[in-house]
Amino acid sequence: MLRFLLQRFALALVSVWAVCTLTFFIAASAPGDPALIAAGEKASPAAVAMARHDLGLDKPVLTRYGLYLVGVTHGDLGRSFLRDHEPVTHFLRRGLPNTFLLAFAAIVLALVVGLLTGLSAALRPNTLLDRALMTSVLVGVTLPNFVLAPVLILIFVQSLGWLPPPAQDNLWAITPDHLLLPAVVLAARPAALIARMTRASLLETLRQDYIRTARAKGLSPLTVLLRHALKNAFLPVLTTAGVSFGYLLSGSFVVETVFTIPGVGAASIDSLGERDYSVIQGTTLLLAVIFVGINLLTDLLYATLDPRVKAAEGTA
Amino acid sequence: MSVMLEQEKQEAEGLTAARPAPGVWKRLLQNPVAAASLLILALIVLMAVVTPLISPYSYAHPTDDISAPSSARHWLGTDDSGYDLLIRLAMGARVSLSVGLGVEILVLAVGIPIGLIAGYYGRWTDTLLMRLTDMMFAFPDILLAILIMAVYGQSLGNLFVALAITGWPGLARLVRGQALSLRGREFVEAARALGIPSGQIIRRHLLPNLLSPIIVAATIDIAGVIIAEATLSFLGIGVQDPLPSWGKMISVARTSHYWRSNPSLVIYPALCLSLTVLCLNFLGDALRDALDPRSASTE
Repeated sequence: MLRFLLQRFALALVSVWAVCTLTFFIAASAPGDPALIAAGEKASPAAVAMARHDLGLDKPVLTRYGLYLVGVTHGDLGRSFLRDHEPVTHFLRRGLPNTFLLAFAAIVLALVVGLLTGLSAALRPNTLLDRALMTSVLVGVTLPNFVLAPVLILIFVQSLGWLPPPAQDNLWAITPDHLLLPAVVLAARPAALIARMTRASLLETLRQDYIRTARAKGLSPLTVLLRHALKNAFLPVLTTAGVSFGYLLSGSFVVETVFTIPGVGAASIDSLGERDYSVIQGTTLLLAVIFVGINLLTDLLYATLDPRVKAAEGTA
Repeated sequence: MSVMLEQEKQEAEGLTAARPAPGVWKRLLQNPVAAASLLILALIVLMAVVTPLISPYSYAHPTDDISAPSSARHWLGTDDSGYDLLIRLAMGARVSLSVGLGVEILVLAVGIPIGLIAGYYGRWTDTLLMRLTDMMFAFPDILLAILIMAVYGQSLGNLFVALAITGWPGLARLVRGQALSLRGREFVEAARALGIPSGQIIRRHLLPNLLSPIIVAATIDIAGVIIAEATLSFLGIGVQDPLPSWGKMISVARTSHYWRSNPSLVIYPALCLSLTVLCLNFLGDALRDALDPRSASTE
């Protein structure tokens, strides 16, 4: 188990390094001069040179890459080209609590709704209920969040008045009903993916011999489901949940923008107006690292729940 | 699991692998969902092709009719800047469809060779190429495309490249998995034993057998690309003015607040986008059944 743990951890570290490298070189190869963005289009050559020096852009690219990697390990993600060259981590620290709360609410919602939907469909396969649920799942998978958001706002805020309009405020400071609509929009696609996987996985599990055996020895259907089927059926669902967390992270850009939530996604998009891509570079890095961490976590959870993974890895 | 069983069964019957079976079109059209999806997609293509040819309005220049309701002059009305909605929708369709198709061609051009080489040669080639795709998978969803568009600037060329870079790893992984399972099959081993060069085995024996899964994946991928383009355009880092895009139309309408009194500004582009994406997904699923009838019957 320890070997498996170390192996996965090393792979995750390589991924993080790759993410750092790729984001750095994409930004470093940007057309145009960031110093010019920082100093302003009409700045004197001296002011541009000073901005370049201040941002460390006068050093050779490999030196900057080295400094960037060292910085990242110390929690330094570079500085904004504008706004007095404020450190990017300040933007992230301001936005992250909102993004985190939104993502957490969405993934809980997605898991609950997804598992229940998948379960209900799998227990009554090929019935009207199954078809209805799976059709709504397909809609959930295909409908983009920026389509869903205005439609839901139109219905629940505009027409029915059940929910408050977007508040443009810190989510932690306002009433929870402001969180409901953004969380639903963000959770739609993960929930649909989880529902689809739960249904497929449970149907496959219920076909297995040991389920037939459990039924044959007279266990109640509920016991068979809870004790024998669900645990095994849950494993692929776990992977799906991990992967769909990725949609949640990139989806936060859209949902935060639509609902004017001051999270990291909205902050990055805002900073793009002046071509200050340093913030989005930091955000991309942060979200990708979170994603790598989540996938590492699902891998480890998988291994704890499924002894076969451990065995296979141990012999390999 | 069932796929493996099917393959074993096929081998036992001495058949070669799952090349697209004859009568695909017929089976596809017999499926009512697929037929309806094809019809709707055809209508959207028709709108994209024909409307700009016959419409008296320009997508780039607003008319003098501000916020006009739908009428004989403006079939779908105009927005609060005076743009004719129908011509904007049609140009949006052109953008969505050409980005979807164009990016998918790039994705296929990169993903198929990488997947084939990794799957067929195995060993260090496989490890190297698959680590490369793993690296790309570290970026959740379209985050990398968002970064590329933000840094390099918002041109149509950059949009194609950004979306293709985000899209190829998924396809490469699919092709690699299929190639890996085909590599061990008897007809490939026989070809190798006959001394046929690797390149020819890949082209003549692997690729034709991979067509079905690739066609299915590509159909569904196009839907994903269209959503990705619309998302980037919605965020303001995709298609740039004066070119419209369904994603941008939703974004523009939403920020103008006028859509609250005239929701059709959001609803029309949303409907076009959703229908296109939904139909492509239905079509992909139907193609899977039509291309491989055996898998359909066991479901």
